[in-house]
Amino acid sequence: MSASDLPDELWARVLELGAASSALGFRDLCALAIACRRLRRLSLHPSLWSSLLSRDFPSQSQPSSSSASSSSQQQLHPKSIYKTKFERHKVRMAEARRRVVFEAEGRVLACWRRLAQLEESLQAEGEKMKAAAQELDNLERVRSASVALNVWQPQVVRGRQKQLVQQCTVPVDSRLNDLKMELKV
Amino acid sequence: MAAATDDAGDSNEMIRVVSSDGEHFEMPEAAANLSLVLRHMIEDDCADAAGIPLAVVAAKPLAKIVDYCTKHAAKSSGLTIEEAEELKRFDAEFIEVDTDMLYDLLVAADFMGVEGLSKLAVQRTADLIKGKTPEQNRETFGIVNDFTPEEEEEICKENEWAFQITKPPSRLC
Repeated sequence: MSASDLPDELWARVLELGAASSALGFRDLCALAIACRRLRRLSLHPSLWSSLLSRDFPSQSQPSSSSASSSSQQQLHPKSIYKTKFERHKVRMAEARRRVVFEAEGRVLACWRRLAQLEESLQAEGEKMKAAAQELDNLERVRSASVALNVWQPQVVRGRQKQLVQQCTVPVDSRLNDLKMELKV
Repeated sequence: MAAATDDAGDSNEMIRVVSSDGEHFEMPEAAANLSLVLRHMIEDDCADAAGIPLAVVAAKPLAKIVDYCTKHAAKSSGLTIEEAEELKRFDAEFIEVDTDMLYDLLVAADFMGVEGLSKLAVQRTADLIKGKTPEQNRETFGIVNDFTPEEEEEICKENEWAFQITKPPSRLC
């Protein structure tokens, strides 16, 4: 005994129960349709596709199965209705996916921009720090010169140190400023 | 009619059935009652010592069916949860058969009107179809591809929408 010996009626019951118990989906019915002539004929039974329609597209199939199907059943097989709905659904899914990708790409772009900003400010900070270190260094020299002025020195050295101290106009303030900057960095 | 009610009252009585290839089987009347055909025959008082002949059911599937009916008749009413579970397990194991036996059971259960078994076999067949490609279906069920190459191409085209799920439908955008 083989599958071809099974009467149509039993095959039909297998498909019917399979579709009703959601063991079989649209892809299974389509796969059966390709297997052989008889299964193609059996898998095309309108009631199978109607039950798949109400199962897979419950919100949309109610109006079409009651009102539209009575008027347009002869032109439109439930399978083609299913196909249309399925493809529409697929497009919608693809759109939703695309939207998600777009949003993610937007987020990535924003992150890049922020990264560039951060790098820029990091560089600026680095330069500021360098300047601050330079200034600190200078002030350090001025300070040691002004300390040296208080002890005895040969005239030449003393003059040079005096000049150095006079050149520096805001020693204390600058130093404070400096220290703050360093802290900030 | 009086005889029928007598029979129905006496559930210990064994019913004999004969397979198409002449093998005899016995089962309790409660088990035989799970088959619509056997029940009608018992009610019509056709169950005699010679056994009820089942012309389209061979011995192999009949043995399985007698098994099934006996098991289910013994546990038909007032099941505890555990017993129901056990019966479910029995069914699951029972239907783990090759496709040849499955067809035999489908046909025999349908012929004999054993509803539970019929459903079980139908569900099993549907489960076998599930998730298979056309080629796998042909292999599983021994189906001969009787399409001409042109027809097959057309039918594949007609149904290809169901199989391209990962590919975005570009022409529809």
